[in-house]
Amino acid sequence: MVFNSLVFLVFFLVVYGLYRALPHRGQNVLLLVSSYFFYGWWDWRFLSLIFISTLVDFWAGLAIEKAEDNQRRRRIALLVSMVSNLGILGFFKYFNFFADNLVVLLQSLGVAMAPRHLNIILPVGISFYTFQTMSYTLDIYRRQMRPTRNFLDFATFVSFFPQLVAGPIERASRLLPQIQNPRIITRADMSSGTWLVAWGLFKKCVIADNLAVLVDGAFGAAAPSGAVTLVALYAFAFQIFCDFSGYSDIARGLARWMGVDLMVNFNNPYFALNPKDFWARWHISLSSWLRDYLYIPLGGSRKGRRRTYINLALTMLLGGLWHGAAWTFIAWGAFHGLLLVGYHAWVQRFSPKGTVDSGRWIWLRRIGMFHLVCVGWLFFRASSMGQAGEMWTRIFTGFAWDARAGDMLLALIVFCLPLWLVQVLQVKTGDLEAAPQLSLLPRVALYATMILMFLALGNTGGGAFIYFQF
Amino acid sequence: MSANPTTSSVREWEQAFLRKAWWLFPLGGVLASLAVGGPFWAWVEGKWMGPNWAQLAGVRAALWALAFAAIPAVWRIGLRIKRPFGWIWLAVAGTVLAAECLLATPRVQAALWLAARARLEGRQHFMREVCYVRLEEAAGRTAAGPAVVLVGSSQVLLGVDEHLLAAEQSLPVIRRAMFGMTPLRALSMRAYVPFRNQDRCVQYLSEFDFTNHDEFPFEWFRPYASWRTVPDVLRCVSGRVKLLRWRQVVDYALAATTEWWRARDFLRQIAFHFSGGERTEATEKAPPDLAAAAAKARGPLNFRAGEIAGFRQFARRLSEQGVELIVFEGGVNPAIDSEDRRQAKRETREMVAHFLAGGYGRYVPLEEQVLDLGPGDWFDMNHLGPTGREKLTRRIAQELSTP
Repeated sequence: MVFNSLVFLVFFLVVYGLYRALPHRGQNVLLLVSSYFFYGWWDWRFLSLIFISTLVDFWAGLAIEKAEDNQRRRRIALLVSMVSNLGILGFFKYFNFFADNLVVLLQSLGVAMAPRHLNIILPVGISFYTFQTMSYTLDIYRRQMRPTRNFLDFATFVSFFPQLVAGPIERASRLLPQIQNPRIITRADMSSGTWLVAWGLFKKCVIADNLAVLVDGAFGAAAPSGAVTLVALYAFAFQIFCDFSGYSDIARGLARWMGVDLMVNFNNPYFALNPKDFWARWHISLSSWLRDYLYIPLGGSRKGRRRTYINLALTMLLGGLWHGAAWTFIAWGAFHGLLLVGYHAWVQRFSPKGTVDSGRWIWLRRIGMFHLVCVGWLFFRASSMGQAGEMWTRIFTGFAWDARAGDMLLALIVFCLPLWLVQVLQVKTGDLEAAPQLSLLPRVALYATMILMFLALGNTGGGAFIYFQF
Repeated sequence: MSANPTTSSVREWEQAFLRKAWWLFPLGGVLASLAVGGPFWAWVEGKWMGPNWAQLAGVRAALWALAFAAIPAVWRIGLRIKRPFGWIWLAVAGTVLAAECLLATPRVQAALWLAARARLEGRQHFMREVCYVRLEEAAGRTAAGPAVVLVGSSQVLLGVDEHLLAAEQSLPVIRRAMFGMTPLRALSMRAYVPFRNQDRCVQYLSEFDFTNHDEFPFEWFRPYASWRTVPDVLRCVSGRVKLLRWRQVVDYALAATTEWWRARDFLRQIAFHFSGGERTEATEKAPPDLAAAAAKARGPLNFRAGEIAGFRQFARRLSEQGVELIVFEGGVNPAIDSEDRRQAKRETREMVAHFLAGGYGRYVPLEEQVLDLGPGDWFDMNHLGPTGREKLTRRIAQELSTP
């Protein structure tokens, strides 16, 4: 069940009608039941995985607190949580990848070994809820929060359907209290929630799904020209942004209708000035998770320059692997790791006081950073490292502007123009919800354009979100 | 709302934008004036015509600049409205409604369907036919008197020469036959067929039209959706099919409501082929594999209740409109004859003849057609070749001449 489907509309209308009629405890029971129904719609068998994760972390949280100062018991409880969560994630997501690569490695060393490939289906959203539930145990272990004693509340926190399958990856310290305490839904919540849902649907159905046609056409073609490849790469940059941030916006909007405030997951990432800035704007819930639970525990920037670079590279490498079990994702993570290391080295060498972030050449730097991000997207989107290499070569050696590339570029502009205008407004005003505060004429023009573009060009086939596969 | 600090920052930004960049609007108007007229219609046809820069100094450019200059003025007035919430939705509804009306005007319709047709690829036959029908509808029916309207599937499209038919009898001929137009589909597009009182509608029906078709041919329905026909079509489709395909039923209803949804496949075609540049042409059709087609055509035949109901409803509606329906029994290549097919043919004939005998039209069975078709008259298993087409066309003309 995806947000951009009629089935979800019916589901949500029923759930929301009941939600508004129920008292707080009843709302939580309803949220849990409807979240399990929502998740089970894909494959009910995977409900067992989410239930196991919930059960283990609920127990681990209580066990860590009960152990008080007994460090050994605390560590055992944490270890049980980590092993079970990462074990499930590792098996379902990475088993075949590592098994296949191990066989290739052994074969290259002359050891005869038959490939062992299991028919494993990747449970949707497993990486998201696993990270969310792990953060709960880790925060309790670090004594940053106390565990809940109410299993219903905890299970609702883990499975809260608006953000269950593709985030934002919420921290327990933020979301759990909102589940535990009665929620108040204001008129402002309803209004801003409506904007977020409408804007998210527009980004997904009108922009991302249409750009997918351009991107899939170019990446699926036998020998696209360099110009077509380049435009397809730009199109993919906006496709993946609109697809993922569209999901996050819808999730935030739906949650807001229910009186829950989810964290901002994207803050105009293509307006970033440098790699560090980009990761402070792109998939914020994951990048902050990696920072807090991986980069900082590794030592962060506290153990010298060389160690900082290693920590950055390792964090980004694992961030790439988080996205999927493929060398292309690892390459994407490694590329961003290199960018971050390079940026930190540059700042330390030329601008130790941070003056590199002054307002000079701001648009040029944004455009430059956008192109660096696009290089990364080539690895991300390519089906193999070979294809990424081929397409990269084609851009530089087979670049010939043709009618196809021109049409693709015009389509990209037609679909993205409302997005760019809204983003400029957001950046200029520093307010991500600036559009619904516009005065009469521009707001009417924006809303009418969104409605007409949705009617005429929106994909209503319920296309899956890209990040579901992660 | 105006007291909100973020709102005031948005307002301040708008005010600053209007103060600094108001000139962009009249400039945009001047540039837009260069695109209207010749360059626009050239673009519609998928061609490129450079702007005539001399027009920049003309009256038209000045008028366009003036019109666009009104935008910042109206924008400024809007800034003074403190709580525009109710106004917003009223204005949005009005704008969307105005856009709907604009899209329905004959000139915009002509531009839309011409632009879409110019951007189709060779294999997009159905979309090309839709463009043809919608362009004909946009142009309107010019001849004052009654006409002959050809309705039916590719058996009519390839089996009747409309020019020969027009020459052989006194009435003008309007073609609405299309590939795959079964009776239910004919009913669904009735709003786009310009029937008038005293017209004569020629339909060509065989067991092919009533068997084995998709029970809810949604791709066909959408571009022809109209509230004049949606209730009829939905009444013909079984409750089971409507329940199973409820999403498409909702889509169909939406298509009947707004042209922006109805024409969405074509608008997307334009958006993706904006310049009308490179398109792949249809590859030359290979000669039909008669043996494979015959084997396929000999498969089981399942009557579709929706098609039968669609035929009956179509005939009823024509009768109400004062249009005479003449149904020719369709033949198929004798190479695919089988006992099942003969049985289906008997049932089709009985059903059609029995229904039309109730005062809904005239039925011309194969025996009365006396076409004397030989194997050389067929193009493939169910379509006539040139000689067969001429025979059938002359026979239809003869029937139309009969009072």
